[in-house]
Amino acid sequence: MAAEDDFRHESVQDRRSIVKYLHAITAGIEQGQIELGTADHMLALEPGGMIELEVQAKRKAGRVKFSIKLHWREDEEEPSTEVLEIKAGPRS
Amino acid sequence: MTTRSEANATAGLRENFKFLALEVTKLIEDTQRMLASPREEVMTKIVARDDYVDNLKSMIENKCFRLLTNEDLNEGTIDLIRAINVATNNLERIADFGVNIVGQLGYLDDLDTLHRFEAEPFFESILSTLGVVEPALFRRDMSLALAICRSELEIDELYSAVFRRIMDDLRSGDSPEDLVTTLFIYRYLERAGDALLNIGEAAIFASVGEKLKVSEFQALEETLASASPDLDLDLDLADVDYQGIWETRSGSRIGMVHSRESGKRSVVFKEGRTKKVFEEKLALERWEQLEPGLPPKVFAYQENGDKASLLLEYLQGDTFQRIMLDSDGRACTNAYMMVVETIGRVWDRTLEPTHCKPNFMRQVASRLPDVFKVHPEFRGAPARIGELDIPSFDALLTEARSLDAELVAPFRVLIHGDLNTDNVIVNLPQRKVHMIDLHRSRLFDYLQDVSVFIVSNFRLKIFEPGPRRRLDQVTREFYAFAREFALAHDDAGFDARLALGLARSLLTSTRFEMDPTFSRTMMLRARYLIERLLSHRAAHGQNSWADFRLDEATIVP
Repeated sequence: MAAEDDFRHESVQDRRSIVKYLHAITAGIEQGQIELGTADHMLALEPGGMIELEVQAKRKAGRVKFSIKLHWREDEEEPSTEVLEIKAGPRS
Repeated sequence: MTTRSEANATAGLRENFKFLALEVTKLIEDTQRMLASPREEVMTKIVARDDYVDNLKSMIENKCFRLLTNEDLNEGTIDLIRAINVATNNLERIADFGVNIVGQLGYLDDLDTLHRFEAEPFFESILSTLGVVEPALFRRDMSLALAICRSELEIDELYSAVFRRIMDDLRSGDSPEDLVTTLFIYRYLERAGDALLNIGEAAIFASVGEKLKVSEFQALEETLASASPDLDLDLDLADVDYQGIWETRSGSRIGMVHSRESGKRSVVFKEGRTKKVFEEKLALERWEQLEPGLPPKVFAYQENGDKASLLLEYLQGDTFQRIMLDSDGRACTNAYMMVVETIGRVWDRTLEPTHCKPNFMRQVASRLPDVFKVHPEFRGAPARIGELDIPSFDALLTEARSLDAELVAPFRVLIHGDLNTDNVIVNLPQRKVHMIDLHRSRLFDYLQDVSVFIVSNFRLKIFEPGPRRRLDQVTREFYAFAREFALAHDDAGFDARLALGLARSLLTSTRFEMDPTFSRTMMLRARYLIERLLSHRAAHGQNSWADFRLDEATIVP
C-alpha cells in the first residue's frame, strides 16, 4: 500500500446507528476484504494472516475514548529479485 | 599519520617499566630484611624507594595516556599499553603494601611472635614473580603470564595456613595484640598476591586482547597438551593466535584458536560444566558414527572436576543463517537443499517406531520463571470484553499443560536438539553440511528441531523486505519439507504438535529478547497458537488432532 493510501472518516452517531458501521466492518473482516474510501479514491483492504488486535478504553475527566486497532502486514508489490529458487519439494 | 611501530612507540615506556619493576623488587627485599631485623637505615631506604616508585608510576601513567590519546597505534599495541598501565598501578600497590608492612612493625611488642611464622616462602614467591613481569608483558609471553597468575594461588595457600595457625594461637590467649599485628602483616602479603594476579591477567590481555579468566587458559593449555599427537595439531600456547573467546548463553566459553603458522589446523576450544561438555562429546561421537564428517572432529577432551573442555575441529564454511542473509538466491537455494537433504537423511536413518511425547508445555514450564524474570509484563491479569473472558497468560499455560499428554509423535529420530540456523554450517564449495553445538542431541520428536529451526528465522530482527522475504521463504519451504516427512510416516498430529512446539520455542526465546515490542510479538504469537489448539479441542474433542491445520501465516513474523 502506497503512502497516499489513506482514508479517514468522522461522524456523530448514536448507539443504534453505530452498530451499522461495526456490522459493515465485521462483515468485511469475515470476507477478507473491506472496501472503503471516497468516490474518487477507493481503498481495498485485505485483512489476512496474523492480525494484531488492540482494544483500548480510557476515561478521563468525563471524556471516554474506546478504540479498536487492527494491524497486519501485506506483501510488498514488487518481489525482490533475490528470492529462493525452489520449485519442487525438497525431497523427491 | 602513519601507524607507529610498537617497539618505537613503547621504547621509553619499557625502560621506565623495567626500573619500576626493579625498584618494587628492591623495596620488597628491604621489607623482608626489616621483618627479619628492623633497622633504621633500611627503613629510610624503603621510604625513598616508595617515593621513586610513585614518581615512576606517574611518569608511566602519563606516557600511557599520551600514547593512547595522541598516537595512531594498532589494536595490539593499544592493548599492550592498557596492560602496562594496569600492571604499573598494581606494582605501585605492591610497593605500598611493603610500606604498610614495615609500618605495622612499630606495633609489635615482641618480634618473636612474628617470627613464629615463616615469611620466607611468601617473599620467595612474590620476588620471583616480580622478576618475570616485564618480559611477560612486553614479550607477550603467555606461559610467564600464567606463571604470574599462579603465584597468587600459591600465596593464598601460604596465607590460609598462617591464618589458621594465628587463629589457633589467638584461641590459646597468648599475646593477642602481637598476633593481630602479625595477621595484618601477612594479610598485606596476601594482598600483594592479588595485585600480582591483576598483573598476570593484564599480561594475558596484552597477548590475547580480551579479558579472560586464568582458569580458562589453564584448561586450554591442558587440553591442547592432551590432544592426540597423531592429529598433527602441533599447537601450543606460545604460537597460538586467539581469536575472540566469548561466553555463550549456556554459560560455556568458546574460542577459536588459530595457529600463527599458515597451513596449520585451527581448532575450537570449549569449556563448560563437565556434565554438559561430556554430553556434547558423546553426541559428537554418535553423529560421527552416523555420518562421518557431519559434526566437528573431537581432538581432545579434558576433565577437571566440575569443569571440562573440548578441543574441536574448526569447520570451514558459513552458518546457514549467514548464507540466507548474505548470499545470492542461487547459493542460498543450494545451501538450503543440502541442509534439508542432510536432515532428511538423518531422520530416515535413525527413525525408530517408538512413540515419543515431546512434552512441549512441560519444557515451557521449566523456562517460565526465566521468561517472567526478563518480562514480568507477560504475566498480566485475566480480562473481559463484554461476554468474552480472556484468561491470564499463566492460566492459559496451566490449561494448556493437558495438551502434552495428547500430542504424541508416532516415532522418534535422532534430533540435533538446538537446530538454530546458526548451528548449521554449510561449506558450499565442498558441498558439505556440518552440525555444531550438539550437546542436546537425543532420540526425540523431530518437531523439536523443526520448531527451533523455524523460530530461529522468526526471531531474527530483520525487517527489510528482501532479506525478510528470503527468511520467510526458507521457513515455508522447511515447513513443507517437514510436513512431507510427516505424511510419509503417518504422523497425523503433525500440525497440532508443531503449533505447540512453535509456541514453546517462541516463548522460551523471549528470555533472550530485550526489545519490548518484538518480545511481545513473539509472546502474542505463542499465545495465539495455544489458544487455537485449546479452542480446536473444545470444538472437536481430544482425538481430533489430525484435523487441526496450522495456518502458514503463523510461522513467519
